[in-house]
Amino acid sequence: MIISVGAHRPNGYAPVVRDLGTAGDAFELNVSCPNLDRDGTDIGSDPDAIEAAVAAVRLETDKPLIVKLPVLASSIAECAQAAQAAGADAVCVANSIPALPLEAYTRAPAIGNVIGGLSGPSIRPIVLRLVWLAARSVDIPVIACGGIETADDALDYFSVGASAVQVGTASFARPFAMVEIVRTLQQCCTDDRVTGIRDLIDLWRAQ
Amino acid sequence: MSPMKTPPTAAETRAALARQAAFAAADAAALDGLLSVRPAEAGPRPEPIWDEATVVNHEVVRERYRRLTLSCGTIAATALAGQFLMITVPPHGGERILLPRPMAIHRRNPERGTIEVIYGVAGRGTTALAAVKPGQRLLVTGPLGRGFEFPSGTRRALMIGRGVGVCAVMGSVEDAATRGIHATLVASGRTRGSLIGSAECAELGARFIPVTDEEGTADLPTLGALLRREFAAGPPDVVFVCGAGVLTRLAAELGAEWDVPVQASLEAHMACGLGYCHGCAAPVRTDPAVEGPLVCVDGPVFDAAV
Repeated sequence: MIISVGAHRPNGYAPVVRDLGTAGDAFELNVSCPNLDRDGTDIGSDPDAIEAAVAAVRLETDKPLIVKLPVLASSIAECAQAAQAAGADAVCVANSIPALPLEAYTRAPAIGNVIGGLSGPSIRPIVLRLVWLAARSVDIPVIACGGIETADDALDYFSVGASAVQVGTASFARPFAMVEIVRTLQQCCTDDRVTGIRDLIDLWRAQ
Repeated sequence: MSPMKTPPTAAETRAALARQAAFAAADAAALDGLLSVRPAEAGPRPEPIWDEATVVNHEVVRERYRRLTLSCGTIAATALAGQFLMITVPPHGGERILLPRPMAIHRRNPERGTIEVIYGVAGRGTTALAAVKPGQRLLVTGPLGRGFEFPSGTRRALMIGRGVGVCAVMGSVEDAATRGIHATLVASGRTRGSLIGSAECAELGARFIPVTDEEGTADLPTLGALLRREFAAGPPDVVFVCGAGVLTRLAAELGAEWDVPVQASLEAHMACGLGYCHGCAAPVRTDPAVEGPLVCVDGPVFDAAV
């Protein structure tokens, strides 16, 4: 079980991880939260804030730490590097994109909280670019997350350097989406007589 | 052959949406300060499942709604009154519906393994859903959320619904029938022909009180007076309400007069229905430093009190 931890200040993560004690097998630090120490800018868009948050958590636990980075960062590479420098074991790229949807005609806010996170297939090309940039800049694994609905979408992300993928929105309409994706990826490997996805990508590149 | 319906003009659509916006604004104002998250349930919630449910029947009912009867035995057997489903809508006419749609469970028939939902065609999702044919399979997830709970010792209950909101309280009318609770259902709507619940109440032995805009019986002072007369000899032990904020406020005011609890079911746009996406913030006053409750997991049924 991976426990996702959020906070509104860089020093807010470590106490939560400490309080969680032996619970969970790994932690995801969701740094895509407004930083109340810096007028609500995303903690995850500021490499210094990421480094401070991750370094403090690193002192509290030996369990794997995954840092979930936001879409709206001036340099995703610098953010990923800051997480790596502070001792993160992986980064997750990315998160939903802050958005303000309106109802047709009346133009009233379409969701209760007014602002919400846009996710799903429409953000895939945006996140593909970020995963590509992040994977080129760090040695730790990059977990891709953004609009993956099929095994083909997952292979897109693997081909730009992702080591693993997460599936969120697709699971709302198809709760078995992840199982389908894994089965299809296995079938792709079997069909091409390779043992892993990396080999599959290399094989396709060679062709 | 049914007569072809002329599509609404842009001006008509805008006027209809302006009415909806005014209704939503009145709703929000009426609910302000009224709702709170209910205390912990007496029993565990049923485990939600996903199922490829077969469409048994799909028909137009009460002029403006559609009734969808689905074969999904587990949900029919486990759903509690007031719980809901997420329905994944198949693509239709080149239109792809990305997110599932929340729908109140109107009826449960555990013997036949079926459930019914009733909906109005309102947007892209329900337009595509309306094209689904009997025999087709629909992916459904449920039962979800927390439902209505009768306080122990309830002998008489009042249910109030506006429009399609009647469906959210219908499960509690079913429960009342099996538990020997005397139920009264007030169905409020624009026209007599559009009201849901008359046949259901006849079947379940509940008293049915129709009130409509066209007859001038659905406005709040008239309805309030009617209910005070109706329960002059002794109030109900609990009030369940759904479908309009102003009706929830009326119910809460009556609840205060009668000194009985009121539970209100909310309707909301949802992307997941599972508490994952945090899109359906509930209109409950909370400390702004703490994340507020969600309609899908903390509701859709909340306590309402003035």
